[in-house]
Amino acid sequence: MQNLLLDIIFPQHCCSICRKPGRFGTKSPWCKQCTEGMQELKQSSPICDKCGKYINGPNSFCADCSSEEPIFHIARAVGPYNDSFRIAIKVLKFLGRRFLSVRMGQMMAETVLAEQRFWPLDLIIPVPASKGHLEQRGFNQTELLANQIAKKIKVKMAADILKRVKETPSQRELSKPEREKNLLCAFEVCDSRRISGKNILLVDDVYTTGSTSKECTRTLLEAGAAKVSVITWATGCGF
Amino acid sequence: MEKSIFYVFIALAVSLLLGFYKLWLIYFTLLGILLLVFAFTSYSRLAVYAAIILIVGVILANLSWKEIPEALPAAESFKIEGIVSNYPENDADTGKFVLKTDHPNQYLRKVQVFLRFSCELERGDRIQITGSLKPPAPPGNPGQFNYPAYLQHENIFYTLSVENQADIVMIQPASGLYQGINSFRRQGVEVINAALTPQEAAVMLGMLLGKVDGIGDEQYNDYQKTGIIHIFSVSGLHVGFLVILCGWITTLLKMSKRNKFLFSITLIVLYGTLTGWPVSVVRASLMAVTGLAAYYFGRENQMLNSLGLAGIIILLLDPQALFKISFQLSFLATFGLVYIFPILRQRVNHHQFFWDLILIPLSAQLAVIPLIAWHFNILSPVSIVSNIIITYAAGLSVILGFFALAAAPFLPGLATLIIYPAGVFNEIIIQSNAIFKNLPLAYIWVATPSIIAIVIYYAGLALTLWATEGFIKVRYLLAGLFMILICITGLCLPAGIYNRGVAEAVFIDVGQGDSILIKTPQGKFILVDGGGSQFYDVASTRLLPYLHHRGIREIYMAVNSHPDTDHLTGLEKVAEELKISYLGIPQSVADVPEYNKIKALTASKQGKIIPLKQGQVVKIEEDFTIKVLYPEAHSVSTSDYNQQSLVLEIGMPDWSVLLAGDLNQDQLEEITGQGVVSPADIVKVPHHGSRYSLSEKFYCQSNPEWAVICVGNNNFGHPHPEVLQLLEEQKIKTLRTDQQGNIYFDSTGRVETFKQAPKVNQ
Repeated sequence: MQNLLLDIIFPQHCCSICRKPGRFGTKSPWCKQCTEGMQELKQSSPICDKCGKYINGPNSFCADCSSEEPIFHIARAVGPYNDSFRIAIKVLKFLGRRFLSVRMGQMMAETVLAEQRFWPLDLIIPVPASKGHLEQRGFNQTELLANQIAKKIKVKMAADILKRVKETPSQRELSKPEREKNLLCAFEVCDSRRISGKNILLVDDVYTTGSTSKECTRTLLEAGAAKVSVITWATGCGF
Repeated sequence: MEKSIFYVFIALAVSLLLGFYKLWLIYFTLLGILLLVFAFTSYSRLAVYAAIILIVGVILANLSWKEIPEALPAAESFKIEGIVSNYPENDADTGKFVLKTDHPNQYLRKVQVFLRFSCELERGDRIQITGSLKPPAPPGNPGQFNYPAYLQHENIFYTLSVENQADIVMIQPASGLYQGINSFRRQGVEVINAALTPQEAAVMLGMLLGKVDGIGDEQYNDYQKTGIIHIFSVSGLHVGFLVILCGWITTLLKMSKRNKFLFSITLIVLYGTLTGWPVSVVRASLMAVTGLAAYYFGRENQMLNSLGLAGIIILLLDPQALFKISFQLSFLATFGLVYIFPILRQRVNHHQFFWDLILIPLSAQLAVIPLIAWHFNILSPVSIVSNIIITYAAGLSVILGFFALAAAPFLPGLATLIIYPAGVFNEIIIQSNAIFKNLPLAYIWVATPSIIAIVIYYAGLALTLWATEGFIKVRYLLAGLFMILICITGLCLPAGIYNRGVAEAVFIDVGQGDSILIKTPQGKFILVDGGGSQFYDVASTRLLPYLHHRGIREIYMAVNSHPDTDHLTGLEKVAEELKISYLGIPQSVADVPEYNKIKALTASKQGKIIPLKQGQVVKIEEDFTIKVLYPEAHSVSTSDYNQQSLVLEIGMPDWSVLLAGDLNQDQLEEITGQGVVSPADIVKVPHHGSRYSLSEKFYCQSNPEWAVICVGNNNFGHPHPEVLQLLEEQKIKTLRTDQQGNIYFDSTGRVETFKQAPKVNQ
């Protein structure tokens, strides 16, 4: 209802990704070409069976997963962190166009529904944002996405369980080992009773090295979660 | 569907206009077209929406429109009770405000009050007031400000003039919120007035609060000429700065998104209330709130749509806002900034600060040129330059002003400290404006454009913009530019170019006084007298608006019949504003001190002074002359200037006008005795129709078809009934400027009156 009203007051006159003019809204924030482009990107190459990264080559695991198997159950993304997928999440995060989260969350939910290995699920938990980002942007995009997924797949979402306890510098400029070190003990579970024995879906925006997802998973498993799977909007391309 | 909300706004504005002007033919044609679109094309939904808007618009127009009734009875010492509903404007010895009443008469719900003294009232005061109630006077000349219509759009039908402080009885002073805001405003005003020089303070208050009563009329006009008057109508510039300021403060205070939103809106509303919510502030505030809401709700803000949204809200609340100059200017200028500017900027392709400096005022100017020409008869090329400096100075000054305003009630000392540097910026504004005004071709007076020209201009602008968006469509672009250029060229043409080969005589309604404009067949303008009054500025309110309306930039020859106030003072103002090439004055009184001012003004613009005496013939052009019938070069006595009035016969062999100034009976007898009076087509009745200037012979000898009495409200009883009777007996068709307003004659025999059709005695 609120979205419908906002669509009227703030009509979206161009595709949120390629800015081609047309009539768009919360339900379809980007144009047909961009949607098709996303479909193509999605099937551009095979993915790692474990972490969902896009890989080149005959193996079913990516280089990272082959050398050290991640502790999460599986991780999947809607598409690769390229072109339209990359722009979409940036527009959401940095331009604050939060109405995009509706459609993006839906697409993530569809991915979850399509992958049998995710199920059963008991609880959805978004990766908490750092305090700095939260202040700067005024919202946590993963929470918005998790909210939409929860609505669609009808599983409860709880944003208050997993907390960030250590203020960490941005991950973007760091190498993989640095990222892991950076994040060590950055998260904490507030109320472990609520997750003990639960199958958890962890929601994040982008999966690059998987450091954030892995650290969250470790925290959740240590607090007694039965199984943690990861869904992200976009994922990196590995080997 | 792009810009959907903006289109809704345009559709609403168009349908309101059709409703207001009762253009049913166009209205039903449009509905018919929509029906066809609905039935036969794939745009049926769009057609339905458009039809709904059309119908809503017309209903709204009819609900809000209140016709000015035929007869609005006036009343002396009329007593009425009500609440002061705007911030009263004051200068040294007058005051004005709007009184909201609950009078049973629906035409008295809002009354414009004029005080003959400076008032101490505040907005929100409940008072009982006694004064003389009158409907506002309608304009007498084309181009003159239509005060009744202006008030009508505010739903005001009466003015109340109040003489004494004792006529106002305070029933209940403003209380609660009003009181708080009043004192907030008052404290700000006091700090500014105390810290700055009167001129700087006036500019500061004008910019900060839209309170322009401290700025003199002349300075106000100067700002209009340089195209920067907009800094005094609080608008996007100010609200924009306020929003930026809010952004800094809220970020500094680390507020949450929600608090940022609420804080900014609160400040905008507070500021709007301090300015009294003129239309431009409502528009800017609505756009600002829309922008903030877009940020708050995570949406994309499109300025054009928020402009449309603001327009829709304003028109729904007050459909008659469409007629307000401030609404029109505010919306068109903003349209220029949010729509034309990005297109121009993209085309110029120099993303340099310098280009932006020029393109911003240019875009705004492009959008409002015809409107400024229509309302103010000015085309101001200098505005593109003047805005560069002045807008920035104004911006800095306004930011300081905000801080001072906020600090004034709590820390007046700090507020004073903040406001001092703002004075420097204001000084820059004042001084640079004076320079810009005097640049060559800074501004030119242009005739009021026809509606068709305005439509062509905007059609051309729309075509140009459409052709420049995306791929350039060269043919349409050229066509659009051509349309724009044609209109601007048309505006710049000299006034004399119209109606070539035809001589005109226009008796301008200057109230009690004379002013006659003559156009020669070749297009030279002769102005005989300029009206004048010791009570108000006749020239600025009546004479100049008409001359500007005609687009007259130069008076070839101005003649003053005799140096009395009601003939001379208006001419002085004309000499100040326009160039007078030749000034004719009676030689017999040429050296009296009354002429010093106008002589100096004329000489300062390289005009020549020509003393006129009996027997002289001034040849203006082939076959067009001014013959001086009276007085002789040396007068017997100069105590009564009326006796020295010039009597002029102006015209061609087959068409002439006889002007007899304020000449008395004795002198009239004298010239008729001399036999110098020859037949004329039009005679100006001497001395506003006084019985002491009555001469049957004068009319017998001149034998005119038309007699014109230049007369207004007066205590002398002009025109006297004997005079009217004589004219009737002589079967001379008589017209009066107090009844017919502006009266136009030309050598083809056309007669036009501005106010009402002449009642001709056959």
